[in-house]
Amino acid sequence: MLLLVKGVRTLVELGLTDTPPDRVGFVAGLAILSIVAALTLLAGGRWGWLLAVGVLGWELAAELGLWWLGSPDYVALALLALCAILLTTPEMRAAHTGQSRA
Amino acid sequence: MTATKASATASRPRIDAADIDLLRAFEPVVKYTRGESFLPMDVGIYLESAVRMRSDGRGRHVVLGAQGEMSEVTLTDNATDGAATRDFLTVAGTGADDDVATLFQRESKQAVGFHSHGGRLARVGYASRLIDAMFAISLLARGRVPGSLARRAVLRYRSLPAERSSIHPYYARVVRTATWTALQYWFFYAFNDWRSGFHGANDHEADWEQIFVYLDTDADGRAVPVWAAYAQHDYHGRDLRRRWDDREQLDLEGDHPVVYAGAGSHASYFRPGEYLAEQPVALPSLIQRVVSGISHVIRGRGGGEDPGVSIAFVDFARGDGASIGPGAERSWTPVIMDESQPWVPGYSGLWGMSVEDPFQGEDAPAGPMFNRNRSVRMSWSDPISFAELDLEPPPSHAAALLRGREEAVERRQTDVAASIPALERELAASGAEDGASSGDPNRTPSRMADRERLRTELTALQREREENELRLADLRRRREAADEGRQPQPQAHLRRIPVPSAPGADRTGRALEAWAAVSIGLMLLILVGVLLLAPRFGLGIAVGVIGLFLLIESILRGGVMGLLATWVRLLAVVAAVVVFVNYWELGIIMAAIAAGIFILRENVGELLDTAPDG
Repeated sequence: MLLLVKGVRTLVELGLTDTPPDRVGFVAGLAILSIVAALTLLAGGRWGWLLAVGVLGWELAAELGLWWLGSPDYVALALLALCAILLTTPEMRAAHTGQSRA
Repeated sequence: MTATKASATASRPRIDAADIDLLRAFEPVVKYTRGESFLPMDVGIYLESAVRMRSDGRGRHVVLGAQGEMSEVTLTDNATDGAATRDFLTVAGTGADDDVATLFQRESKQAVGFHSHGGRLARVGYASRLIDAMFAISLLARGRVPGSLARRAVLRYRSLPAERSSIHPYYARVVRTATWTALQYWFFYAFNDWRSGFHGANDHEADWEQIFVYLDTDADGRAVPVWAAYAQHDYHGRDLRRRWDDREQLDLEGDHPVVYAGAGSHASYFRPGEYLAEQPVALPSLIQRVVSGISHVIRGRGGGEDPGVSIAFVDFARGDGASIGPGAERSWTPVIMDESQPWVPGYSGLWGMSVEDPFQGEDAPAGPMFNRNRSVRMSWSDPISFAELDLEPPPSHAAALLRGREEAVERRQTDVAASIPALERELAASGAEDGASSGDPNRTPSRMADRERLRTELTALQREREENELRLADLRRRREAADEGRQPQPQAHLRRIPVPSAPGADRTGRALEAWAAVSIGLMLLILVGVLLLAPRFGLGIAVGVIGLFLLIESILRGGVMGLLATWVRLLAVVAAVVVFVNYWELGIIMAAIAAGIFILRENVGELLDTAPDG
């Protein structure tokens, strides 16, 4: 759900703000990927889980990078960390992929 | 010493024909792996070429006996001048290195005719490979058997005339106890070249291995084999034995148990195959806790068994090489061995070179009767308890033993049942007396104590009566099963069963094998290079390099999903720490609120559940 909200929010923000043209494609792509990941995760299956974990990992790395550079978004960090921990528990992983060992 | 089979039985004073027959009847068939360099040999032939030394524990060695002076009769006179001194023999440690150099030029290091079919390193992960690298480096610092020693031992062994090298004695004894008869078979090898010949954990000069067959007697007094036990390093007690009728775990050829000997190690296995032995490394407890903690955080709760830190070795017990025993191309020469032979109790030193390895893996073993510290081996003093058979009666004794036990409990039960009514009456009388004189404070305390004693005694007897009933029911069930010859499942006693893989079954891709062989060394070289050439970005590049190596490994192993989950979890933990460090007050408040809500929910739920209807 977080991914879905984040993806939609990013797309809306992209329309409302002046994002540099060279970043529009990347940001929009990531937003769309987030939405796709959220939807495929809800549908179940290993690819949904893989995509969602991949996008979460990317988002986490990006947020940590921003924190390192002095522009932290602690709310996003906390929510992403919570989602990542929940999504990578052995139970959750087994439910989506059939593999239990992280 | 003369080169005949008779030499194998020379100086053996007590030959009991009945014992020899018994040993012969159940002697094992030992099957080796192709490429095995050493087969069981006569200790007399070994001693002929041996030099006896005494180490003072500070690296100084004194020669006690020159080559040619040693025999099974003269090998006595244990060292008695202090615990630090240690006697040892060596054969391969004598002579010039010229012959060894020739052998090096002619042959590869690996044993002739042996192919591992897949590197052991490819079978384990990075942590184990890193520890393995450290283990290999540690061999440079700690005492170890030099490579030339193994080569020279091979050369000496091969140079034995055929009529001597074809003598394969087992040194055996028959131990009779009130319950079991144990047949104990020992095999002596000139060298253990597991490390140098088969990528194993250790090399050492001289090697003693042992197996056991445990016998019961049938109604006609004939010996009946019930268990076979093979001594193994990582297993103890009942895990060492297999039941004779367990066809899944014990191979038999007629009445002869089949032993699959590890290549170079000569360790005994029940089933053929390749055994991945992950030897755990004992780390200081603090480091062990840190490793476990990190593993727990990264893998998550329930993420599988804590792998710990271990070094992986493969013991190849394929059974596709030479074999010795009934029906095999080579046969045994049985030799009765007991305390009446001078060398058995008389020499408690090591049978091969002492390299004073603190881990003892590279030190030669002591003889059949002794541990390296000169104490008597348990397998010698009590071969029944060695395999925890002291707690298991032979089938022919079981019913009678259980019946005796049952009768004893029944007798006790009769006594208990007779005692209870008397106590009940006494207690009731005591209560009645108290009731009559309850107004007399001076007389009550002693009667109170008396009454409590009676009550305690009665309670104990009542409890014992119930327990005896349960015990009797169990004893009857077991006795009936024993009467009918019913037995538990053949593997019911086993806590742990080593599972081999078929030869070559663990074969991984060539790419993974190559990667496993080079990755640790390559990573270390790159990390050192980065630190030297670009120290400013060292940390970032190092993290990137390690990540890249992990990614390559996971791709080769088909474990990208697991790696991704681990990385993301790691990032999440870092993010959580970052948030907590900046908002720890808020974190504590949130945790307190969550705890409060949880407690409220639990308590209110309980209240609602217990509220009366309506």
